[in-house]
Amino acid sequence: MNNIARIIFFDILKSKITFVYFIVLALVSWISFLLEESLSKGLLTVTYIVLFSVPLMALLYSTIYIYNSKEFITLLLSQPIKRGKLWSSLYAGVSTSLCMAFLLGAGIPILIYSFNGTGFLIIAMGVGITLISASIAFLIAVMTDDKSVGIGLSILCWLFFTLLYDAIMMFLLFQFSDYPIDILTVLLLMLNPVDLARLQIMMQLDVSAMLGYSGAVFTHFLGSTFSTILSFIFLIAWIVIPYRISLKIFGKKDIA
Amino acid sequence: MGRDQFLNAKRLLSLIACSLIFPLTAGNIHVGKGLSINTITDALQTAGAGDSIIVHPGTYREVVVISLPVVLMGIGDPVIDGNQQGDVVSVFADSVFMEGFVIVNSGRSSLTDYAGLKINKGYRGIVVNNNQFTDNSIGIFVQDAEDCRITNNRIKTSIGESSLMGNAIHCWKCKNLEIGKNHIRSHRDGIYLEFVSNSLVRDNDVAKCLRYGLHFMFSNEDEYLYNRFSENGAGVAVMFSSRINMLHNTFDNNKGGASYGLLLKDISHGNIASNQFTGNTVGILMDGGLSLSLQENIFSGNGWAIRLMSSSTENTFTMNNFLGNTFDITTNGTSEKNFFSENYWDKYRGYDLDRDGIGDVPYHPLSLFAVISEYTPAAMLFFRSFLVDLLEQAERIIPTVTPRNFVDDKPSMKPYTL
Repeated sequence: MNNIARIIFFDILKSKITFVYFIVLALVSWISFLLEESLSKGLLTVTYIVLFSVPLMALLYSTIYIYNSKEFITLLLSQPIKRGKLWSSLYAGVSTSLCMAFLLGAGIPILIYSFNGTGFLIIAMGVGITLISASIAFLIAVMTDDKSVGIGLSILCWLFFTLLYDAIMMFLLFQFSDYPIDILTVLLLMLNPVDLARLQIMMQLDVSAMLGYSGAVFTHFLGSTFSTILSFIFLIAWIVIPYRISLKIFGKKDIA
Repeated sequence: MGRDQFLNAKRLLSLIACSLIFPLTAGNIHVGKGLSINTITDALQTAGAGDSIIVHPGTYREVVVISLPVVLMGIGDPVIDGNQQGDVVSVFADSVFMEGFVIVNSGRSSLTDYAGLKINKGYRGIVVNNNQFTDNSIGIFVQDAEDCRITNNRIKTSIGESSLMGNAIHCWKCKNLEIGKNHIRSHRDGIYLEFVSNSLVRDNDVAKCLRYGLHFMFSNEDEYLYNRFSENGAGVAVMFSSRINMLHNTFDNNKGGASYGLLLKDISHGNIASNQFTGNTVGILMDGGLSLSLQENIFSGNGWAIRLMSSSTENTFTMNNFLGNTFDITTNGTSEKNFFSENYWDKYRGYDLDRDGIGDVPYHPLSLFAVISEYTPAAMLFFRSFLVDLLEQAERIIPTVTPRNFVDDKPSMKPYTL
């Protein structure tokens, strides 16, 4: 980690918001593992955290952080520092601190209670979603100058990924349920990172049901190496593409 | 008085005489390589009724036909190899006892049922104990026989083709059978019972069968207890039968597109209690179940604990544990009457103010999504999404899709220790 990233990282740690995030994650995860009588229910609660709270926190926090450090960015840009380096350091600092809060808060209880493929998958998905959300937040922040619009957009973005996209897809599924559109639906769902993570985790947690008559086609597709590689590619793409676009815009942006 | 004593003495004398004569008439015939008799067929030709034939280690390539009540004992696992010609051992006699053999390579045909051991029509009192059956089309075929015991056998086959593969134990039109402690792998059906009544299936371990672990057809008044059925193609099927007791069995890891722990098809008046259903795609699939009673079973980690098809009525579910299933109950109907009471549902979120261990709020085990995915299976893709959770909550408050008669009025607050 370079100097600027380190400064940003410690700056974020000092602001205590990530610390609160860490505490909340840790509390919810520990409580859900300790109080639920079965491990699978604890894992389910943690899955819901990964799927809903993590992207919301990462999106909102990253957006707000970029807006709040406008002066800091302007100041640094008056120094002989390349814009690309500054942007990547910002991204590294923000995403590292968020990932660390997630790993320490939720990762430790997950590993203690479920030290197996499922546990690692949930953690990997949590980290992946954090990185993706940060990357989308950076794009939103660099595209809109108005802070309130930016924050509104990131909330909308979260709503879209967790709710609206599924609603649209479900509507389409019921409209076209007479046609063999199972694989197509899976592919379209995989375009949404939150759904992608959900499907991957569900393949582990609800394997008995997923292997059912309705699940046979999904297991053949989702359980295959091809789809694992495909999911991995999609996840990486969701991290890289919004970040690259934001980097490009930031490189040319007129910073007042 | 004196006459009675005389009679008793006479009886005693005749008893002693019998016990002296029997060992004399029932001789031991030894069969083995290097002995004067070296095939089992030769031994059977010289033997008389009640003789014991003791077979020493070695491979006997012959087709054995038993037409006398004899005892066949294998020492050191002698192998009877049928060379893929017809039935390896056929029994045409009552009271045959067979123990300690390795019976391999029956004929293979998609037209005729060839077996490792075939008990033929009309005979009774045959005991098949502690044998191994390998690579036979059907392991043991019991045809229209009574009072037979098939125990402690290890049965498996490597025939992969389903048209040539038969059932490990195939019983047709029998009475009073006891099938116990057998270890069965990789056949088509593990135990197949058709028109079999008053029989007991107990302590068997059946796994990795292509189709069903245990398959009942038109068989009434039977019992199966303490068996274990795992990783079978489709689980256990009980079809067109009545008054069957199913107790203390374990059904686990029967996973797949059309798999279930237990399939009940047109069954009536059965008793299903103290069983364990773990990790199956469907724990129990009930299609046309009438007046069945399900008590004290454990359903854990199944995709669907129970799929109750619309043709099932008047069944009672009491004091079962539902733990960590993706769906507890699903159905494709709306109006049938089934009774749920005092079950433990781990998804129950009610309270118990009077502390009597029974939840104060009735529980509706049928979730919206279970119903939706019944009609549109691909909807499973949206399971555990935020949207579905919202819909689920809305449905609980204002029910519109799920039938209201699926209700447990007295849900237990704590799981039962079963």
